[in-house]
Order: sequence, then C-alpha cells, then structure tokens
Amino acid sequence: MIQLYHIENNYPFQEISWHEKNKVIQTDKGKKAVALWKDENDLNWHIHWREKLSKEAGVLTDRVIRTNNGEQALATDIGWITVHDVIESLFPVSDHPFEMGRFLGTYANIDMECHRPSEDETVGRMNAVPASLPLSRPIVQKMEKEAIRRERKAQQILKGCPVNVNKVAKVGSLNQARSVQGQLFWQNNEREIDSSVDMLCSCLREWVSEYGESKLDTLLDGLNETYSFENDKGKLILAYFVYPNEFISFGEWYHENRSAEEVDIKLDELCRQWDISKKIVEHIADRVIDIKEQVS
Amino acid sequence: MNDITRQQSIGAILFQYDLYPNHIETHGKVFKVETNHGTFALKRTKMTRGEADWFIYVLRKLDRDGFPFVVPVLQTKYGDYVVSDGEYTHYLMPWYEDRQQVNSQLQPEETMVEELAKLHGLTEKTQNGDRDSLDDSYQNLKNRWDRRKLEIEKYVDTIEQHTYYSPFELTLLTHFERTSFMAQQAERHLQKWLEKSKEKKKIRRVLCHGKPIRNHTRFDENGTAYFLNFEKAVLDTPARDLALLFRHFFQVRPWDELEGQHWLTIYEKNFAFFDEEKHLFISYLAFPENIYQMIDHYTDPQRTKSEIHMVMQLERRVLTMNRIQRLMNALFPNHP
Repeated sequence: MIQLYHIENNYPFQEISWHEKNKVIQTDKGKKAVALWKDENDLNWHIHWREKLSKEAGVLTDRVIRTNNGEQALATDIGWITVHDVIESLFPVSDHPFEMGRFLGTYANIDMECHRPSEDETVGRMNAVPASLPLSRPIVQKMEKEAIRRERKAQQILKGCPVNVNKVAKVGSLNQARSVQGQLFWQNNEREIDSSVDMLCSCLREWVSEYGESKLDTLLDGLNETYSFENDKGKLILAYFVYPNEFISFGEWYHENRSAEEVDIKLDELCRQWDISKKIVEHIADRVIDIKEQVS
Repeated sequence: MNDITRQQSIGAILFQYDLYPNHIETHGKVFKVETNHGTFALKRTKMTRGEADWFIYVLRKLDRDGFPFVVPVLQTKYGDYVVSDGEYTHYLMPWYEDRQQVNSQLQPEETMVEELAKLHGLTEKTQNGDRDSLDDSYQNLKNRWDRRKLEIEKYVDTIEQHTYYSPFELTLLTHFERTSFMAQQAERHLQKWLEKSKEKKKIRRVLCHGKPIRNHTRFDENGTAYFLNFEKAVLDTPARDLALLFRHFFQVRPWDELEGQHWLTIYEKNFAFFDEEKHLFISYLAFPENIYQMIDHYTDPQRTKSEIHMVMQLERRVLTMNRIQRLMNALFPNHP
C-alpha cells in the first residue's frame, strides 16, 4: 500500500490527498497518477518507453515526474513508486486523423526491442480456423467457408515476408489521447507489452468502429508517412485483417451449451467485426504494392 | 504561428513545469510569464538538438563549478533543461528584474568585467599546445583577416576611381590608412601570440560566455550581476571573451584608454592574462572589423539607413578605433 508521506516527503507537491486510493492523488499542481512497481525491469522499461515516445513522436506523454532529488522513481520497502500527470480532457482524435495516423506510425516504430514472430505466432496461428462449428445457422456456415479462404489469402500475403516486429506499450483505447492546450498528450494506461502490429490493428479497428470510414483514408495517409505500407510492414497489417481473427475468436467462444440469446448477440458482434475487417482491407489493399490481385 | 496557436504552444510548454500562466508579455524572444507560483522568463531560441545538448552541458558545468553569477535555468518536472515544440527550443528562468539604480560603488562595466574574470578563473584548463595546432589556429584567423582586407581594399580601389566621392566614401578614404595600420598591428600582435605560445607549448582554455553584453546580465539592487543566455558559450581563449565584452562597451558608452586600462586591471586582479594572451586580446581588438562592417552595410542593396546616418556611424567607429590604438600603445609601449 502506498503511503502519502512517501510522496509528501519526496515530491515537489503540497496539499496532497487521495483522489482515488492508491491510484490518483490531488495536489496543488493538479491530479497525479501514482504507480507502484514490483519489478525493476518492468519499471525501467516503462520509464524508457515514455521517454522515447515523447522524444520520437514529439508529443506530451505521462513521463515520470522527478522526485525532489531528481530521481525518476522512489525506492520504498514495498517497491518503486512513480508519479505521472493525469489529464482528463480528451483529444478530439476524429478531428485530427492525419496527425493521429502519423503518431500511431511513430508509436509502432519505436524500437525498444523487436522480435521476429515465431512459427507458432504466424503459421501456427494461421491454421487455427475451426474445421467445422456445430452450429446449424446458414450465416455461420457461409462465414466458415469464407474464413478458410481468408486464411489462405493471409498466408499467401505473408509468404516471404520476414518482418521484425517491435514490442510497444499496449494501447487499450484511442481514449488514451488527451488534450493539453489543444495539443496531443498520450496517456499510457497499460502495463502490458504488445506487438506493434497488434497495436496498430486494434487502433484501426477501433477507429472504424467509432468513426466509420469517412476519415479512414486520411488516418492511413498519416500512418503511411511514418509507417510505410509499401513494404513488408504493410503486408503484415493487411494479412492481419485478411486473416479471420474475429471468426476464430467466435469459434473459441462457442460451445453447445451457449444459449440462443447469447449466440445471437455474439453473432451480431462477429458480423460487425467481420464487416470492419472487410472495410479496412478495402482501404489498405491499394496501398500495399503488388498485393491487390492476391486479395481481390 | 498565430496568436492562439502561440498561446497554446506556450501553455503546453509551461505545462511541463506545472505552471499555468495568468498573464504573458512578449519581450523580444522572451516571454514574461506570471503564474500563481511566481514570475518567469521563457526564452525562445532556434537552438538545434546538438546546440541544446551543449547548452545543457554548459549549465551543468556552471552548476558543478559553483559559478554563482548566473540566472538559473529551471528544469521541467521531467528533469529537462530545454523543451522543444518542433519549431523552437525553449528554456525557463525565474524572472530577474534588471535594476538600473543599484547600491554599489562599482560601475556596471566594472562588475561585468570582474564576474567574467571569475567565470574564466573557475573554468580554466591548460592544454598542451603543439606547434601544428597553434599554427593552424594562427593561419585560420590570419586567412580570414586576409580575405576581409582584400575585399575591402578592392572596394577602396573602386571608389578611388570615382570623380566625386560620396560623404561616406570620403570619410572612409580619409581614415583608410589608419584602418590599414590597425589591421597590420592586429597581425603583428597575433604573430607575437603565436611565437610566445610556441615557446610556452601550453594554451589556456576557459568557458567563454560567447556574447557578454549588458542585455545578457541582470543586476540586483546590490549591484551583483547575473549572466544569462549562455547559448553561444564555447571553450576558447579568455582573450576572445574579454575582447567581445570590451568591443560591446566601446559601442554602448563613451570611454577612453584610461578606462580601458582600468577595466583590464580589474579583470587581471581576478584572472591575470599571460603575455601571449594579452597580445591575442589586443589583436582581436585592433583588427578593424567594425569599420569593415560599416562598408558591408553601406554597400548592401537592402540598406535602409540614410547616407548621413552611415557617415555618423562610421565616424563614431573611427573614434573608437583611435581609442583602441591609444589603449594598445598604453599596454604595449615598446611594441613596434
């Protein structure tokens, strides 16, 4: 448990009180998030990540606030404490699609550590479409056939595409974009580390889900400036959306004891996600060189 | 950048200090920012990342060496000394009101000279000066001066062909012989510096402020000066920094060679020049670059100043050159 005196004695704040116990404090300089780290490597990774993000993307982010002694973290007997800004006003991402695209591309390019996806993570995962679902609904049966076709296409796209993938801080939502004086402030809410491709794809999916297709091309133009589609990285993104992830998730979720009502809700969601994947593929296929004929 | 964008940009910079402005005033490249936590000066510069790294090194060095006569640069809550908004690099200082009336017997010039000497004394480092590097330094400066002299001589040759001289041309021609003499003297002293340095095989380098002028100091009510703007700071010979300061004094106030000697005495009480450094100092002062610059301004097609203004300015600079000559003679009475 974090004690307030740890912060009172070591940070340049006054009038400190808990706004949300163990998470957010109220100070004379506004609300600040307090984080406790048990693992030093984890702590260093996240400190370093925020520094690099701020420097390379040129945006404000919740870097660690220094202690009175200039330290980035406060060592205590329960672990390391760090303090960060909390910004409540949301950045209107849909008004800045190009800027957001550029930012997400830079985010994905930050080279903390990179790895080449193993066989299990690519080909192995590609074989995961269920052979046959015990569900006698015509739409599912149609989708099943199409999912197998999508899987093959994704494999074709990925053939001879040895791309290293960066590890980045996971993005839970585009709502992490906050606004300070009209400028983008990125709030790192997640401790988990994610592959840059998974991060980008989840952001693109959220964008289409929230804002539709109207500004998607502008977002992709911005993304293309910092994360070029005209190379193997573009193929990875395309393959991600061609591959029937949403159908596989549905297959993993389904079993015969699910109620009809539950299945209806999940099917609606599957159709929605399927549709989003299709839309994104239509928008990015043209940008990936020599690939259009493989997905059409 | 329009006003709203600029305000937002400044707001985003100040956010990194946990400061929220109540009022902002623009003073050239400095924003005076009033906040609930005090009044601050936010300086906007065009420093590149490399220049900013050097600037930070200089600030840390001043702090490490314990030089007290400096307006401190404040760190952001993240520990940064400078903040970039992509276009400009900024740094923040507490707002020091500059007192024109102070409780001190010393003139501001005397204080500045004394404190500059202390800066040089604190940061002094002696290095081996091998013959090749000394020759290179000498040759680089001499080549630069030779190029300048040639340009100006060509110009003077051209105007000598004129049937009638303009007032500016006439003034220049009247004093050109003395100007050339001063250039020769500068070279002689530079030559002397080279000879003596080669004998000694050592050179001194100090942290030079780089632009020691009155506007880059703030005086408190007790007459203590605090330097600011170390953006042009370099590790170089102390002679360079002191010559820059003297040149500045020569331009902004009336002076005579006795006063010049007095300032040098104050400097040397705190940081005595070696013989060769004194030669270098006077060679910097003697080279008539200020007169040459007047010719550059006069011949500039974009010139906006009137002929009469140019003549008056040239005459003032000639007067300064004559005083420098007297100062030179006083410091080196036996120098040929």
